[in-house]
Amino acid sequence: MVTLGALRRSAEARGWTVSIRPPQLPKLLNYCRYSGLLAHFQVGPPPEVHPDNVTTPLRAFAGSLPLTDIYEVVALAKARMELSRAAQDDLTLVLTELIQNVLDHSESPVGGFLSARAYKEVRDVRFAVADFGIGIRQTLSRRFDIATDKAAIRRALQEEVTSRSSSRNLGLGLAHLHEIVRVTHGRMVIFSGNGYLRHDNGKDSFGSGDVLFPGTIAFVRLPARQADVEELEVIDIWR
Amino acid sequence: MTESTIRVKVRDWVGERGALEPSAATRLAQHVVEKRSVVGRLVLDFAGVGTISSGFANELFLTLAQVRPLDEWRQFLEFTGLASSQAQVITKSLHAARRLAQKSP
Repeated sequence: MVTLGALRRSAEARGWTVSIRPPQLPKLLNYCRYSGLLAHFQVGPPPEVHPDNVTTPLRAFAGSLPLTDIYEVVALAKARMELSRAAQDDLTLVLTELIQNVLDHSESPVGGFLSARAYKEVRDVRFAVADFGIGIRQTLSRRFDIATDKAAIRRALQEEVTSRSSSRNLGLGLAHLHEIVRVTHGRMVIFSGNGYLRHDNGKDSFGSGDVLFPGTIAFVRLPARQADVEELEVIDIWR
Repeated sequence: MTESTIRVKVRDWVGERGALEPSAATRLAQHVVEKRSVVGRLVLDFAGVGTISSGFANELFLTLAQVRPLDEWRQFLEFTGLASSQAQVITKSLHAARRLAQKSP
């Protein structure tokens, strides 16, 4: 992989002046810094160690589900706070759905990146999955006529809306993620292109920013529930 | 359970890491199809499986649908041991796979 830093050095060796700027949107910039993305691409310092939280090293993935990384993130959260079985399942599922989306749809030339943070005092797990691929609008435009990045994100959250990038896609992953965040009173932000979704306090707000993100990045904050009573369902799934 | 019914422990087919990877569903579906050819009815027992991803569930139903329509599988296949979160993923995938089949028969 060619890092942005290597690209810059190569350009400078030719006498060109190159300026690489990370996204200036405060939340994006903050994420890029603490997750280690800036350091990964050699355009910023490594994340600072913070006494109140544990941040996993940035993990890059491509090709197949990084199961070891997913379980390490869940283990980190579990070690940091007593997570109920259901909360562990939610975390595993949300991470898996986001990562599978990157693998199936993003066409990211550098794969995807996963980072997570668990706090000592705040009982929640925060994590992000980023890619530098074609973005949600271009992915959905294979099957739908969508004018803006904002509209694309809104559409992608609907059940059974899919680009069918892979034959197994049925358009459930993002809708399910959205449902889990809503039901658990979590928070979520998705940026793709210049569109964004912010889910907070059970409400969605969609918007368009001034900054273009070259790909898709999703931040999720899930509360760490302790109650651990989940009954087995006796249901007829065929209904 | 009658003599012609067998119980398939899904955990044996997806391993300790659970039902996340679609490829694990392909293996499970192939096993179901093979077993179905020698027994009347199968019970898929999800006890101890952990998280089920939509990619896994989609792959399971789409692979089964290649062999016979999903509504026909209903008479041969029973699901048990599903926690509510697992049941949600499985049910949504089944319904989406059914609708997909109706759109493109």
